[in-house]
Amino acid sequence: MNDLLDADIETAAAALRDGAVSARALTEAALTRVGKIDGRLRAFLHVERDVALERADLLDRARKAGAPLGPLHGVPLARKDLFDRAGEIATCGAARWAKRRARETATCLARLDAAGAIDLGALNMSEYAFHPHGLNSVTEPARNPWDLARTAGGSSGGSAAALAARLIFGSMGSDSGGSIRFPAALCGVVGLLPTRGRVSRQGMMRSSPSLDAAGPLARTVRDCAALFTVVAGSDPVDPTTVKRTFAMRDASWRRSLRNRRIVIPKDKLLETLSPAVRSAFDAAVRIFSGEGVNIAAIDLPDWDALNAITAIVFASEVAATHQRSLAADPDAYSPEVRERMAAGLLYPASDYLDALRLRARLTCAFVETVFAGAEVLLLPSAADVAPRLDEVLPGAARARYDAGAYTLATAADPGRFTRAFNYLGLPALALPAGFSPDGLPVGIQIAGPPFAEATLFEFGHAFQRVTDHHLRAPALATNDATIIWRLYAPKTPLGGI
Amino acid sequence: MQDHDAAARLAAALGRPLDSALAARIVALCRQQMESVRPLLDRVTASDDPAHHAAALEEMARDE
Repeated sequence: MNDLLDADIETAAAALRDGAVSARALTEAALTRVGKIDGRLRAFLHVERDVALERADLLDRARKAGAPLGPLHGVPLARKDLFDRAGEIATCGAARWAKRRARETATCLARLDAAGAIDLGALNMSEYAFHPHGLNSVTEPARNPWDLARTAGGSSGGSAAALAARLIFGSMGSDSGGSIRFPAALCGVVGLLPTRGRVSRQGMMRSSPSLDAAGPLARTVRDCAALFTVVAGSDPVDPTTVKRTFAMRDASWRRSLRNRRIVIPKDKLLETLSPAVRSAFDAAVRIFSGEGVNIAAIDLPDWDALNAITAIVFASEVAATHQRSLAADPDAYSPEVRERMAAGLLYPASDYLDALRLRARLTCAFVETVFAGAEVLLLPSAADVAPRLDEVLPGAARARYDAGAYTLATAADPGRFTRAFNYLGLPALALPAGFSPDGLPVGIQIAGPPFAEATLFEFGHAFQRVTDHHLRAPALATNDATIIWRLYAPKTPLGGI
Repeated sequence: MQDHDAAARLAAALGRPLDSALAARIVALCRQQMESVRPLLDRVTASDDPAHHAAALEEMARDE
């Protein structure tokens, strides 16, 4: 590895702390790569170059002055464009909001700032986080770095694409039914849906209040845990947050998986997987088994119904959020987004309310059944690899966009393996599990009982210790290898570079 | 809700008539969706409350 931009957060942070590289140098290198690649990738909606460099200089001066350094000191990140950053525009992927400047900074961004991170700007996303393949009214959808003709997924597609292309080290995303985990799977990066209430949503666009969650994306499980450690915790201005902090014990990263237990879904649920995803999933099961894990297959209780009930809650809440502006200014929405949103108005309010009333009982039943004899549940993140953009966007010659298919839990539903966890409020970690014969990433998910993020990270990291899927970079990034590491060579050798 | 009522509601929400084939497709999918969750929704009891979910998550938390 000759490029610090390819390194993980731990390595970059160590180099920055030691002075082997300055925050300005690393930030300039990241911005240079953005400039070279992002015209094709479309991961960023706007780059805040001057602000980022000013902040880098400030951090460099602080280090020279001997000030205490945060765990993310000088590490370049970026944010999905639905988090408020005071004074900056947050479009939420909507042309209607192209001039909306935020007055305050979202709590999770403020926590990353306090930890020393540098925010390079706002990342591409689906319009109002409401399209699985990044359709928005601001610009083109983000492209998949592994094949620019393919989707990066959505709604946090820009986040996943920027990470896979080695433009940034981490990003905050949002997930109401898979919007972190689905693009993470399609782009070959890591993403976490935290337990409900773990991360403040203050300053994040609200779409479906019962299901929305903020969570980190990164390239490795350890990086994801590092970001989660910073952003997790109660927030007095978000009453839905829980009074829990998070810290990963060092020993957890080395803990053996021998004689620990995983459950996987029985074959029936896996029948819809493409051959490439099925093959990677089976390989992942074998890898865990090889690590000494005991694996059992179970029927996931009410899975399809849970999926459907989540879709109803999601569609109803998004429609309620947008119905007044939809009626007042329908042309401000892309037609496909408008049609999907309106479908949510068809569900009876009594059924929507019953769906929420049942939530506690269904969650208890799921946890008691699935996690009675296992620490975690292993399942795919997505049924297939990234489709071509011309197959999933409006006007596609081969498949006309179908408003219903993406709103509802159908066979074509991209959220089939992700959405139910938002309703249940349970944590789920998406991570890369291999590649298709065409070289496209395939993802798996590790889900757990409430507040079991540390266990998910343990299993995920153990998987990454014995696999190298997360280390592979798309040609788009490797062809652009810069010489930053040679230019800013460390005074003392650092491990892992 | 009758199909034509549902289509009218969609049109009202969108501020314009919707392509009839698309409207029919959306209405049919919504109906199919409701039918698939009906057995689950029928389990609701008078004591079920949306506010119980956060407490249930805390109760089921395992030591980290």
